Amino acid sequence: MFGQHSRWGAELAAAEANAKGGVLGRKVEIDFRTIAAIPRKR
Amino acid sequence: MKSVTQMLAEKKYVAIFDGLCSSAALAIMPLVERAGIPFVVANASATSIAERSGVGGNKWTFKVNPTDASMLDALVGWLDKEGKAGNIAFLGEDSDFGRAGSTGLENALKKRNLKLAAVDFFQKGNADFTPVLTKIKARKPGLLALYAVDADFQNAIRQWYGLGGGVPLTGRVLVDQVPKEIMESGFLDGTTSVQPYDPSVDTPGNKAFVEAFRKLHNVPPILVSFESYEAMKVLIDAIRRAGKADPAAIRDALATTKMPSMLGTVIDFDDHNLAHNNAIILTIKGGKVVVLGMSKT
Repeated sequence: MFGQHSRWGAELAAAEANAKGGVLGRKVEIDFRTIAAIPRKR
Repeated sequence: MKSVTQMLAEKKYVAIFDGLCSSAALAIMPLVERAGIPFVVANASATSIAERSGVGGNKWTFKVNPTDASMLDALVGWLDKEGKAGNIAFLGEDSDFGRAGSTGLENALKKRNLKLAAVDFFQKGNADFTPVLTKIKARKPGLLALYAVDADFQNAIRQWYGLGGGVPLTGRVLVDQVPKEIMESGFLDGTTSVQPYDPSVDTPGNKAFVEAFRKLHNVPPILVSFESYEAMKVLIDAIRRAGKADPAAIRDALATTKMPSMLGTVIDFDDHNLAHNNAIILTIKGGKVVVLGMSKT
């Protein structure tokens, strides 16, 4: 859930920026990579 | 670190964005410094990330979410204004987590010429909290800061309940891990806790965020959703102001950030590239978690 919600938050911010035309004339793109670890605590 | 090393080697990204635990974020910091790529920290909470950034440290790392220490400073600031910071007892796990809690509280209290009334630690996996809780209760503190997680938290809360409590809790209380019957009984009413975010915060920006998030995912945002949303907005704002997709220009733009937060402050970075947003002060009332207000981290 931690990673999924973090991703959703970042994606929403990028989507809002892209809905307003993006940044520097380009769309904001996020390349998500995962690490194989589930932390017990932040 | 393999994926980050690969990303940096590809040289096609303008920034690295964290949705990580603190140990991973700390391990990435020297990599981004060598590569000369901004690293925006959204979720990792270790105080040492900020301590190692900015002046005298890593100039490429920017921490948008609060540190464990700055959260406790916000909480103690609130308690002090309420006249409740002068008699806090501490009970925590004998680990980095617990020690960070006691140190954070001690430092925040020291700024206000106060100190913890008592400090006790327990070993992880402790089965019997009754002796230490009985001892703490006999000292009659005004508040008890409990730093326990997982089974230890459950045991401590159940045994505290068995002893009749009598001292409200404070610190980073894991309200969502309190056994339901204990929470609903009102036993923990009067607890004062702190979180970086709560979806019920009553600001126009947060209402719009929660609505947009729910529309997309059918669930309300949680802490990390909020942190990643605002941190990504900070990064996008910096790219826009940099005027070019150049990592060094974006780093310089990040350093001069002044962006309104949905929590009512303006996000900017201090000398250690740490933002100081509002934190949410929560209490428990009638067995339910209620937002009391906001306090600057």
